[in-house]
Amino acid sequence: MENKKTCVIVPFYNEEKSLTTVLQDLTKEDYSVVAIDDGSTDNSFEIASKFPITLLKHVTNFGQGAALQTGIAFSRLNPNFDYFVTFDSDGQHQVKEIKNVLKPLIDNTSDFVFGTRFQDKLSRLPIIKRIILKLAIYYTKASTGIELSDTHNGFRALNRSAIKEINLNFSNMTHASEFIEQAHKSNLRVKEIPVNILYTKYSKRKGQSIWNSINILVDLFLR
Amino acid sequence: MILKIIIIISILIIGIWLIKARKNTRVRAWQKLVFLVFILSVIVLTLFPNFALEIAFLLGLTRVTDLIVYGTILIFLFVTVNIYLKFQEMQSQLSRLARKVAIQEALLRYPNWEKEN
Repeated sequence: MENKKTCVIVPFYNEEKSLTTVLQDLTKEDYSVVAIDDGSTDNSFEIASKFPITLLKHVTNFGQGAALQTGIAFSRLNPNFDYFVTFDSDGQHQVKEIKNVLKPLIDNTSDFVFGTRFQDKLSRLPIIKRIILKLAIYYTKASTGIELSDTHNGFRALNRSAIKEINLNFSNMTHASEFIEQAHKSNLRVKEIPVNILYTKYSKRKGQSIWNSINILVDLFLR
Repeated sequence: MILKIIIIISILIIGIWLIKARKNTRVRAWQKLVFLVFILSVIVLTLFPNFALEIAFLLGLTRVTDLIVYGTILIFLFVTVNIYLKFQEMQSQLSRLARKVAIQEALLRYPNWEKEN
């Protein structure tokens, strides 16, 4: 399979520390990259524009969900892509694992693949984080019937019939729940594939606070 | 006591109903009606202060002050939720606008984007 046929969507906001490595790894493997600058105020845009990628820019910062949706809406306009991958710009995800998440799509056994950090590895996390993630898993199962072991992982792969169903309304982190809901509503075949997350000091600092789970719950209720 | 439970339950129901169905015309009309009732009650209560005491007694309260406090809290909640929702809606409209701009601008820079090769 030609990697050019796979479009990797990379939203970024003030990631000048990690962006070079991420884009280097992706372009080295010859993936088509659509990167979205979500209104960065540092040099991220200049760094990204040195690479042979497709670059979009939000006039100001709207949040990861908004940037992802821009990438999704733009990349699906291009008829040459068969598969779409959402990929974090902070260096947590590994390019060599893209082929793993793509496999169920290429075999045509799934339409939408979610990366998971913890199939049976949940115990390594601090207890509060574990409880909240468990609650998120139960909530997702109760509201959509989809059973995922990791509801908020940014590593996802979609085929063409899946990507045309996605329309994220939430600009903030609530978009992760929207992916699952919309996959459920469109009756897409969903699968989870384990991925390894590199927890560097940098990505940990940029990572999600558990307090954000409250924001997400309020968002899901107030709509 | 029973009255307090009724007040709490009804405010929850009204709140959820307002949030869940805020886009339809009936809810928007209700918002205006609530506002109208508020204005009218201010006028009535200014003209007939004793009337406030009667309402307070009717609701199981012993002082007009309590009535005003309860009323203010309810109005405050109502206004807060409305502003929050309006704010969210504006945020979403703005990001849709920014998306359109970003995509249009990118299509100019990559004119062959939508073509098959």
